[in-house]
Amino acid sequence: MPLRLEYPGEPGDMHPDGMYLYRGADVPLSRSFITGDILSGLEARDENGTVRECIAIILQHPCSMRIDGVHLAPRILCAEVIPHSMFKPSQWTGNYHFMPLPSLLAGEGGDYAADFDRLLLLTPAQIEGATRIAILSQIGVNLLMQRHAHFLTRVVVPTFQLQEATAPFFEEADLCQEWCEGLIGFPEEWDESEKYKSNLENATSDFNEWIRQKDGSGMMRQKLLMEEQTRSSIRKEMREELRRRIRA
Amino acid sequence: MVSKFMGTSLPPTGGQLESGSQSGITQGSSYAKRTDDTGFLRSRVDMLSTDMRNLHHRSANTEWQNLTAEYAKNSVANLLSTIADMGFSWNDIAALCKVSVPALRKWRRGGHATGENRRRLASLIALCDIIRNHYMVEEVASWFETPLPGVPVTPLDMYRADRMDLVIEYASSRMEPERALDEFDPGWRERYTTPFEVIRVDDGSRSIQPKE
Repeated sequence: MPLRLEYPGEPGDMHPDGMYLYRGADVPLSRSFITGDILSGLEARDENGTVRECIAIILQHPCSMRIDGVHLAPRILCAEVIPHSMFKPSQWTGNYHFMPLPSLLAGEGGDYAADFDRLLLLTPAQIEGATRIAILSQIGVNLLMQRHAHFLTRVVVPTFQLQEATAPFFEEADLCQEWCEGLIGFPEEWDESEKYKSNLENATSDFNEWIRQKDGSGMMRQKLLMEEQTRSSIRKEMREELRRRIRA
Repeated sequence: MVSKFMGTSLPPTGGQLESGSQSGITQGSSYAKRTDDTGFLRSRVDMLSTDMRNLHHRSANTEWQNLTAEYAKNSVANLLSTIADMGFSWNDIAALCKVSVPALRKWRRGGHATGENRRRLASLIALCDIIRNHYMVEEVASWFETPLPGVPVTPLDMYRADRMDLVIEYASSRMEPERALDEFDPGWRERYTTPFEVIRVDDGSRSIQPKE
């Protein structure tokens, strides 16, 4: 059977909500930037030099987003996100230069699509200064990667295999978020956002140090996240460590 | 097979065969009766096996419901803490309880969860108890998220699809992975046929390449 570009949900039954981890006001500040994050308040320059505001989605692969595993790379590949009518399931198999983003925003007119023909290279300052309006779920990122790889190469890689290859990166992002929220609380609990951001940076550094250390078995925790069988033991260890640090 | 044993003393089923001096008709009748008898016994064993499987499911289901009712007396915070301590990810907990990740995040911060949601959390803990206590699965969260051999289907997927019967059968090792998959998703062979393979590269990360 020929491989086809997939869509969210089961055959004949599309579930766009499954593409998103967070949208709108639910997007947590405590989560590291990663592939599939959608940012607004950016500036794009048209061919005639006109500067206009735009929305973009991060396309860069998670393993090349950071130069030292911590700080964002000097340039991050993104694609512009534009309003677009809802794609029916049959339309997901075509429209190669689009990544549909149905119901990205609440309400009517909330359907968008990322356009792989409109690429942007953003700096860390641009990314960190933008407003993150959505974070794709692993399902959403798998679909994004499948479509982008197909757009560039005309090769269709099944999303379940993209998932297998990239799951550890998203697992680490989840754990980092949990670590930060466990240590410094949720942003809503802070009156001063700058102070929250500063504490968030410190907590993120602490997490990155901890996850790169070896556990009791002599294996680096980050490596153990790569195996399905050992991920839960790292989560358990991290939650115990969080409790220890909170008590201290 | 029958002719192979005619006139010999080799027992095909562990019983003693008739001697070679008896007529073929007598021997034929004896084998016919044996065929009938063993066929009848097989049918009874099959029926008994099916009955026992159903009874086992009903019993496990009742135990699960009772444990769920007990655990549901706990606060949502305690339930979440118990599940987290087992090593489940928040994403998986949300999926297993059929709520969004932001909704679960709100519960973690003390937000209100409905009675139905509390029951879902309690039922997950109850099922983990059953799997751990009856089937000696020590690391339940790890077991839940480990794919069945060769396919990206996990017991988590079965639980999410309300196939607790398969989760329990698979945990008990009474059901081979292939049969569990056949029952869970008859189209799995076609669905997961791929010309690619995921391999581990030098730095320990994973890459995708065409199958050799």
